[in-house]
Amino acid sequence: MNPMASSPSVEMEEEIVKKKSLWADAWSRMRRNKLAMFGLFLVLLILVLAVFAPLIAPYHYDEQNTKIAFQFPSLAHPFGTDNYGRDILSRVIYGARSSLMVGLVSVCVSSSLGGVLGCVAGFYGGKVDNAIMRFIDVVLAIPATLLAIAIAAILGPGLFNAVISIGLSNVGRFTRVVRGAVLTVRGQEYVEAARSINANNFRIIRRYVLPNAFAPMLVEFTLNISTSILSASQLSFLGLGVQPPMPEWGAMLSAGRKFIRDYWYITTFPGLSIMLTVYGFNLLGDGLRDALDPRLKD
Amino acid sequence: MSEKLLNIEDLSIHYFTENREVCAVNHVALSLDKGETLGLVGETGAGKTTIALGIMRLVPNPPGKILGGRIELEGENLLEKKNSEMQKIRGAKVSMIFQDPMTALNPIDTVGDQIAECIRLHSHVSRAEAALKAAETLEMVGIPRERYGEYPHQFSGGMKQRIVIAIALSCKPELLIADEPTTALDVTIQAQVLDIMNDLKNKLNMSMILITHDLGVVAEMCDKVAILYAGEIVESGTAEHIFDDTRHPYTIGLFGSLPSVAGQKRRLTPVAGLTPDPARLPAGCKFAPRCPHRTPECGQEEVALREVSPGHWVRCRNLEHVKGRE
Amino acid sequence: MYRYILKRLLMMIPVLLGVTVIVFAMLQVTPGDPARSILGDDATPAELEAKREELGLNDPVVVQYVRYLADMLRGDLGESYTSGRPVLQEVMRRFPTTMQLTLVGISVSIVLGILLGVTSAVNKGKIVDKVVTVVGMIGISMPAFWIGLLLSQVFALHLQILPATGWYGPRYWVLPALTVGVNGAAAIMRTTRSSMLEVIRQDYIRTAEAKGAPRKSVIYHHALKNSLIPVITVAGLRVGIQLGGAMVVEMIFTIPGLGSYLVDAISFRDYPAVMGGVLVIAVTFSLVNLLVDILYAFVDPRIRSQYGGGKKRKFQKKEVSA
Repeated sequence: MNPMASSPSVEMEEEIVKKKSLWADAWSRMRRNKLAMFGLFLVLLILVLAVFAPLIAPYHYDEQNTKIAFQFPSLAHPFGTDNYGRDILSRVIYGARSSLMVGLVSVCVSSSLGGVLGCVAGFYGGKVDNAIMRFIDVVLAIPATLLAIAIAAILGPGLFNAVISIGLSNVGRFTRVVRGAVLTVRGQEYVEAARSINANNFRIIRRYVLPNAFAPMLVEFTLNISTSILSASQLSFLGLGVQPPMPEWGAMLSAGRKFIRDYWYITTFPGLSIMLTVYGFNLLGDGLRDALDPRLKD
Repeated sequence: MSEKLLNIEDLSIHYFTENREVCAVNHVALSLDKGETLGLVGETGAGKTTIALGIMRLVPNPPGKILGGRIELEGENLLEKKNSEMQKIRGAKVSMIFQDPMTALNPIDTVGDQIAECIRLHSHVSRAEAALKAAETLEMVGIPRERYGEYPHQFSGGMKQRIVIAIALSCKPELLIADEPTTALDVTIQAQVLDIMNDLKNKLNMSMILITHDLGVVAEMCDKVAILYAGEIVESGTAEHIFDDTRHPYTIGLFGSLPSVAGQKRRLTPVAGLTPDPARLPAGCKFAPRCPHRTPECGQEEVALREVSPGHWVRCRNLEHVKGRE
Repeated sequence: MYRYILKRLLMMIPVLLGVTVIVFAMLQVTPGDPARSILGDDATPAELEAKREELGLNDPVVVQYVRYLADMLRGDLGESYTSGRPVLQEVMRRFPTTMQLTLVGISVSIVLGILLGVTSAVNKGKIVDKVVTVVGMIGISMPAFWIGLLLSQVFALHLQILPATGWYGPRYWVLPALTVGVNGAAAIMRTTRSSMLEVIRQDYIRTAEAKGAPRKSVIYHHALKNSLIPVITVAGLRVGIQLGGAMVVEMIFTIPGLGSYLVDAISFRDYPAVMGGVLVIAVTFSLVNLLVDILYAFVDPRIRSQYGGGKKRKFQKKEVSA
């Protein structure tokens, strides 16, 4: 009888047990990590704000009334009003939409492109690896911020273009992380073992490499959301991101710059929003890393 | 009567993790005379290394904590010393060799400098003098002094362990604690390293605590032996006591699981079961659950060490039923 | 070692060629007409056409690229469309300012970051550690331009103790350097902390303690020196981030550096100026990366011997950087 005949079920069983315990373990470790839970809370809060902005925001984001311009924070306008008399709180709430959108979607762009490139490079090695990584070297020789700004300048301002430019500018970094993870996994004995039972490349990648490289990818994904949100706000600050009247935190900061001497609240609240959102994703990413790989803890 | 160097009484060391208290060492008493070698034998997790770290006062804290007892070196209780006083003792009076030579050396300093550092810490000599002494120490462990300026990664495992020994012996300590010094090495290298240690021990007239799970090594090197099980000493005495008059069921079990190279082929008789979880030690005799001679009382009350012959102590209540090894 | 450096310098050439290709390709797909940006909106089609012909924009892309490269090798990066002056000259005039800003900023990051990181790691779990970790996390979560705005708001506008704009001397450096430095300090602090914690539990630290080495020597000599590799890596990356971030910071503090030059060049579609600026930044960043690799060798003899060695080291080095 073929000795391999029984291997799939055993392997599957082991994988199920492993998967379950890995994620269950990770979750229970994460739940004990107060900072990570706080990060999760912040992220969920921003998410709720973004999704239900029309319900939560007291005013429409573009409701102008120059009679009440530059109002100090009050009960009616908890964060004050800006130079057009728009309610800053409402604009901050709506701003969560653009920020989250740019953050999440651009990371999807960079992770899918970088993920594929990194996987292929790491798994096949040799010439393919060399070609891909040399290309990545070239891309990484241009600082990501500069690259994002340059691409955005070419594509022109706008939410969608900001997403593309930030996504593309982070592909290099992602490729390296994924390639590194794949290389680590590829050297493991269970991959050797899979090879020894004649599993084909695709199967090995799908069944062994990807699941095991998933943890570092997830961590990178989360942490990348925060850098992407930062880059997005920076693009908007330079006028290359989301265009008015749609509110965006970076653009609000940029617009409020002129009035900073007398009206601190115009810039402070958007700034705080960026910080808290990024802080949330960073805490979450750190927490995920600690939870998924206890060896890496601190 | 020879002079007493080290005397440990009632030493207990526990590790406190999030929700567990790991009782690594419980009420251990040991003593060691000048020039003697004591073998500390036990399975992984029996608390051997923790005792050694306790003597060095290097138990990582947190999570480890020395709960009580005395560790007297030449009559002075080390547990009452200030940290700055301990720094003067470590490396000078008491040295320690660690298990894995591959990781025990600082990868970014030359081996010579690592030896010289120890010398400079404990004697007021110039940099040049320390280097000279370090080079001599290197030669003492059989490494040519030309290799003073090389880095750890340029040495093999056995050579690295020699360097670790050189660091430990550079200040001619009274007591050398060797924590499984040969476990990580190839068998052929093991003998060489043990030889060097034994030679130097005699030359420098040191005492030594040799931590090992290898009874063969113990037979070769040790005057006295203490068998450790789950943080407790279950049997101690001279090497003759342990080897020729084995009394404790666990010690007997240890010998039973030892393949004999010279003797006739026989079936190994491993000790049944596993070592208990040190966070949940059984009541009464810790070995009772695995003991072939247990009686209902064994699992109920603590068992004290009994002196079965002068200097030979055994922690078992049913000695009468336990037959020694054939 | 020298051979290694030489080899790395040679390896930079294809990378930089790649950068020119990317930037050139990007500019090609850019909508808009440089001729129109130069001549303005009231230029006639004939004038525009003449200008395009003059700039060589009507030639095939490959020809344009080869011409650019050939000029570049002669040290000619073309003339700015907006000012008409040689790009190389303009870029190099502004480059030292940006470099100063970056160096002062990265120094702030390194000094603060290592100091706080070590303090935090050594006091792991204590109040100091908790405060430093939280502050560090907040530090990497703040957008640099907001830090810049806050700093100029507080120190320049309200307290009026430091200038908010310009670049005329050390007093003018403080706020911009802090602006670019805070993020970096937080990042380096986090790396130092985790690297230190990793190293502290290594066996050789116990060996050092067993030798009787005092705490200070254990921490700074044995632990910190062994923790430096990832710290150097992050510091190198931060230089890149700060070079890129210079665009924003120079804008906030109106510093006449390469960053503000690039912002203008991009908005006026001044191709040669953008190319030149990006190229200079890429060269600088590549040199910084080389410097980082050389520093590795300084810190770690294992890497030093790899550089000296044969083919094997190349493979291993890549593993490390990935």
